[in-house]
Amino acid sequence: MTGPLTILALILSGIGLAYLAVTDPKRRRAFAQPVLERRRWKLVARLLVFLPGFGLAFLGDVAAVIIWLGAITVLGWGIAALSPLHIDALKSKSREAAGNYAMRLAGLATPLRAAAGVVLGSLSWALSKGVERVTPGQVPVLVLPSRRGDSARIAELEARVVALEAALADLAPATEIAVEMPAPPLALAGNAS
Amino acid sequence: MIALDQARTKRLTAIHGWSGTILGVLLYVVVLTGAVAVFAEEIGVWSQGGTRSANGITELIDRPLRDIARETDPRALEEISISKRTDGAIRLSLHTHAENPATGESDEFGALYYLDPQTGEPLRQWEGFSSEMRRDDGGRIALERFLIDLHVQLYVPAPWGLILTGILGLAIMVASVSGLMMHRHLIRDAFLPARGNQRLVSARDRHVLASTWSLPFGFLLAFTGAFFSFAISLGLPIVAMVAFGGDQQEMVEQVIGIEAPADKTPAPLASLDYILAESTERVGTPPVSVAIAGYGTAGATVTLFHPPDNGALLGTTLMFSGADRSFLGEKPALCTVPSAGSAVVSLMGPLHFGNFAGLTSKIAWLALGAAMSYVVISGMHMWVRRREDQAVWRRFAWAITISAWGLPLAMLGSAAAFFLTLPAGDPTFWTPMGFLIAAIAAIFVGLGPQDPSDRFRVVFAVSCLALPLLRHLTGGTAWSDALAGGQVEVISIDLLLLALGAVLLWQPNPFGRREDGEHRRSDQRGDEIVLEPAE
Repeated sequence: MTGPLTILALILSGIGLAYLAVTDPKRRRAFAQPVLERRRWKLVARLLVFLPGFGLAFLGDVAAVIIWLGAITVLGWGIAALSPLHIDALKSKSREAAGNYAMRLAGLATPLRAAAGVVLGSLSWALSKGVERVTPGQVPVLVLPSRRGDSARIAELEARVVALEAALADLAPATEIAVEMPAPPLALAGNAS
Repeated sequence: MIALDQARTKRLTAIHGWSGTILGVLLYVVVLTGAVAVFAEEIGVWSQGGTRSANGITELIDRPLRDIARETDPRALEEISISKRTDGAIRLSLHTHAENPATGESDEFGALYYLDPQTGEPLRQWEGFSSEMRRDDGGRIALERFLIDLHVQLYVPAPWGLILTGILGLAIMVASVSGLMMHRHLIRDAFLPARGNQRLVSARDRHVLASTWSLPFGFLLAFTGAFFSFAISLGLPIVAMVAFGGDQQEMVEQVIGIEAPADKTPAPLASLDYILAESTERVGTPPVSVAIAGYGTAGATVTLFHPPDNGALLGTTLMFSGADRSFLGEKPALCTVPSAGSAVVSLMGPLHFGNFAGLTSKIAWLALGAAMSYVVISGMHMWVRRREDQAVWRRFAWAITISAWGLPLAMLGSAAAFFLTLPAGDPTFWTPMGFLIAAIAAIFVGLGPQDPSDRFRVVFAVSCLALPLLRHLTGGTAWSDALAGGQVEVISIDLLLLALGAVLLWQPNPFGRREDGEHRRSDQRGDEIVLEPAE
């Protein structure tokens, strides 16, 4: 059980660490993100980080505790090293990928419908002729739908809109930051924060 | 974190920076090879193939042992050790201790057998001194052996290699402590990533962030590593000299708690298979090795070493009487009675090797090693960035880039040489030579007017993609055979290399290249952060 328990504990701790990172005031100042207006649940997040480790210790799984202690340092580094810029880039890339995927799905829709038409057509023909009489040679070449339906065109257009939005989102933050960022003295270790 | 005045901070910065810079490349070699060596056993299975059975000794070995013992010089029956090799064969060593005329040092002298795990028949056998037998036998395990040697003693002859790695362990500890004292806002900066890509302050951010998180386990791994290096190279010989008149064998036996059999009356060994079964039943897992002292005497003892059970950090060692197979009790790691010292020493191994919970702990330790490698390289990078207006430091920056990429490339080179020479050559010789040749090739790749990072990336990616193919073409275990034999390691390492190569080749920067003009700050501020006086 050491492996699954450790992974579960790391996921929970990772959520806590991610929350602490995203809401960290110094980090937000350094990247010119707006001050967090809602309440920061720091204690809850810290509990979420550490309680899984205590849980493993309570279960008596010493190996899992040691692995958790080691892995949490690497996980914490990984989470902290992802700057808001990286996160924005990842978001836009994933949106772009989602858009591409949607377009591919839309592109697949027509052949899928055609394939379904072949199957259903064959089935209805077979039923009308009687299943026992169907042989490969007798299956007729079905007429594929030559006119694309409205729903397919709508799906394709929607996918294109998603892709364009993703491209726009990718451009927008860089422009904004380049214009707005230089001013504030950043959170240097010595005097800020 | 700790309030220091400016002068002390400057001194600490100098110690931290210069020690890291002077020893940095060696530190990087030790740390990265250590991260890879965590998977030495898996690399052994991947590289040499074979029919690996379940972990631990589960085979019937009583009859083969008796057959071999009957034909062996009785002096070699003083100590018998049985273990399992990564290729599934049973390793049976029967030996006494004698001075090796070639080295002038005490060495194991006797016979070594590799037995077929199914039939118990000898597959290979040697006679002579242990060090010579190891050299003859080294071919199939040359790759895993080389990686371990490189990590343990940087391929420098004993004891100097161990002393060197011990010093490197101390250097990491010094760097950890000085870094902790220099960086006053350790907790507050724990979530502050690098701001921008190219500026000095970004280099500082990257190094500080990685080292902040790596600090506790970095220190732990360095401490345990230095302990092993110094214990073997200096500690034990000094203790042997002071307390045992220079007899290291006697000292080892006393410290470990292996007592010579008191009753030397001839008596047959009880069924070893029965003892193995009972020990397995008591602990819950089969032993990974067995030691028999005083074979054929009434005072013979059988010691069985079991790996850690699920959820435990330490293994279990049980002792049985060899004459009447009665259970003598659990044996501590050191001496014959439990002690705090024994418990601490027992913890050193699992905490350094990360092998206490199978793949889960090994993956975690690999990640820790990779993080520490990053800390070393990013630290050196930051140091030279501050001095890049001087030609000598610009050349050193070049050397850092070549080392950073060259080491993993050279490790791939050693693996390639191993595969090419395993079927008919001498892998023991050619595996380190492959490393050397690839390292020289890496230097040539690094030469040129442009930043060599992109060239290295492509060469490294292609090497990663080519290695599984080379392994397959040179007669390595096929995926179908690996699946049939339950050798997940073969497929996993192949896939890992292919994935790494593909990612590096097609996705040079997963986050895209962004200019760092977003957050314009003075480069000099990066220096000031470290050198500021305490509040």
